[in-house]
Amino acid sequence: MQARHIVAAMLSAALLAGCALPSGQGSYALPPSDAWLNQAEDCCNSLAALPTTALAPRQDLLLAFGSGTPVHVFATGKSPFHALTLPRQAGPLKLSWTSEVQRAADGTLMLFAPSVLLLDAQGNVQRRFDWRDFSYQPARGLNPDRLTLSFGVTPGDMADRVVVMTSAQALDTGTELLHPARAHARARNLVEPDVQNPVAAHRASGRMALEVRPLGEVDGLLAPLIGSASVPLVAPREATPTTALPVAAPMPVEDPLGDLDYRRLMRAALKAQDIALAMQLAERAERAGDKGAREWLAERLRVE
Amino acid sequence: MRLSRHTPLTLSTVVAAMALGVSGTAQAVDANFHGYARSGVGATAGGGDQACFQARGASAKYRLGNECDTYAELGLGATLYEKDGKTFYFDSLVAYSANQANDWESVNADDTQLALRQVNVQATGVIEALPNATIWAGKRFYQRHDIHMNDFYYWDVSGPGGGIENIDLGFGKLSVAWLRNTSTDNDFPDDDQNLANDTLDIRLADIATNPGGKLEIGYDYGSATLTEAQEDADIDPTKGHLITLEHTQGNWFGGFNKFVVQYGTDGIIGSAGKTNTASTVPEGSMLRVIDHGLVNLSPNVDMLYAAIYEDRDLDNGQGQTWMSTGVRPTYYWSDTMSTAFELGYDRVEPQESSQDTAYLTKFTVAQQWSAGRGAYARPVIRAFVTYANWNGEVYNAASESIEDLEGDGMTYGLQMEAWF
Repeated sequence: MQARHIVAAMLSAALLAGCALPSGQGSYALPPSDAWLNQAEDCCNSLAALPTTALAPRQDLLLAFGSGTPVHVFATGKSPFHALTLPRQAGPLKLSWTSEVQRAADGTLMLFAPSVLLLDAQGNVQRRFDWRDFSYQPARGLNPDRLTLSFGVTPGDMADRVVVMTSAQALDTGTELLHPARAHARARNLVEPDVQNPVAAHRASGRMALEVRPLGEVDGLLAPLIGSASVPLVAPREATPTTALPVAAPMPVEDPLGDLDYRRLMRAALKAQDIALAMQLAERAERAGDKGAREWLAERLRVE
Repeated sequence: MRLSRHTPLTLSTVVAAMALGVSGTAQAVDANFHGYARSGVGATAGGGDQACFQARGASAKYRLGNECDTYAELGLGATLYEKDGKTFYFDSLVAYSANQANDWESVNADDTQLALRQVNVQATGVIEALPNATIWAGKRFYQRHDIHMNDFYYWDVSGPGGGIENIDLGFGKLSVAWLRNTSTDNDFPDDDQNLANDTLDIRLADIATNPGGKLEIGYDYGSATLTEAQEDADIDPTKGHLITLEHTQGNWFGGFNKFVVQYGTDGIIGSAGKTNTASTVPEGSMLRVIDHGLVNLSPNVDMLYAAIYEDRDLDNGQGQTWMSTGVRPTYYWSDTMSTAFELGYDRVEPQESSQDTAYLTKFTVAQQWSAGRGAYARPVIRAFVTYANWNGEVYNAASESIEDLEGDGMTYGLQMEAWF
């Protein structure tokens, strides 16, 4: 009898707990398609005219993209966008972007595949980060599958604002995600099943998280131990991820890092989603005689 | 998008960034912290600690709400070198197992075990002619195949060893390894002799068969490296062979299906394919057929399933036929909460007709809170109730809470499980 009571109690608790929540809770309520984008009107006649929101030196933002977001026809296609003005008196900043995979109620996986533009005070593009420049991070613990990118920037006339949007090219494709069965196999040193990885369709709707922090500030558990770490600044000039950053000294100089294994360092930077750091390391590696470091980095940045 | 094989600790970027600001010989810590753990507390209805239900003679039991131990694996790995397409990766793992009875369960206690299960280096791209191949040496979990639902490792020759893997042949990938599984033998030639059992493992994987389908073919040869004394005693180890065919369908209702056929002989007949050539090991043959996998039945329901048939035909008449089947459907109320049900049935028929057939049926319902959605989302905390029914005395339990003549039992408790 006692056993029956226990089963009844457990089942009741389970069912009540389940009924207390609507099915699909936790999934973002995405619109069924991006058809709204076709009907949306271009808000502005130029990049310089995009309406902006002011950023604070320390801020966490959740940027929503959808039918209520202003739309502009960029050179890379029509897209909803957010334009954010960088705070001038704050000194160098680190901007960390995260776009998480969303799961619709019907199980469809979707992702806002972002592009980030760095504009000068006249509204000209100084730097561009395509969605391929973002790093894919598989789901782990409470963190879902996501794309991430971080870089440092010093606000000024050459770096006045950032614009985040998507592109027509991005909307034509998707991002392959690591199947949980593969992640489990990796964690437990099993042979990975040849299961088909799911693909998150790129959508013009979704949301992105932006974290703004003073450059050099270290967050997290290790902050009391290691203090501030140097993070390279993004040069405010139009460039591709594999293009060399300007070299300050024209004459060959002895690399202060000595005979380091640059590719290990670059690999570490990439795994930490710090593409700007990886690019700077590639430059140093080339100068130190490791010809092919840029190509090596480009290969790893290449999106399959 | 490239899917990296190893996931990093965030320490890496900090150290790399710091390296830019300092001179000297800073090293990037590209560390991977990985592991597995399960632990909890449970009881048996009617009194006593948690019993766990497994049919006598079965090599596994369905595990949801049916694990009575604390077990953890903690591993650290790191890419120690990467240059010009050549990488050296170091991996290590320590395992801990305890009865889950007290706060302080010392590694010195009889029922507590601590084991160093992995210490190895894997070097990729170091052979010019085979740029994608990896040579390795050390203790290693080597290309293990398991059924998650009942924790059954049907192909696992892990141990100290070495070899080369992922040689690209164009139509598949070839791996060859030599692994050790030492046992003790009382007759080779006298008491307590170490018997250095070896397994030669050859696998050809990634053979495309049909759309979304891959085939893996394996051959394991089990033998022993004999000492002079053992040679002089004219010892004849019980050598063995194991052939494995595994077909994986990767586009299978959002999950996968694995169909496995194994045939083994003599000294390699075992649950995982490891070799034991001791004189006490009976000769004979084994046929094992397995089908298991994962399907998504709806956006909010998935299901693990497994079916096993294993026939051990031994010359001494001590063989058995083990049949097992189980399902674990789970309904997801949200991304963090689900209700799982697990129904499992095991039947073990001894080769000797005079012995009774053992069967055991178990059913579990568990309310779960997990980090994410899906059968493989972890960590998870679950509250469970398990009911089992079996025939008479033929039953294995990890508890004295079930008395000898009882034919059924019920347990309940809380458990966490994590991997990362």
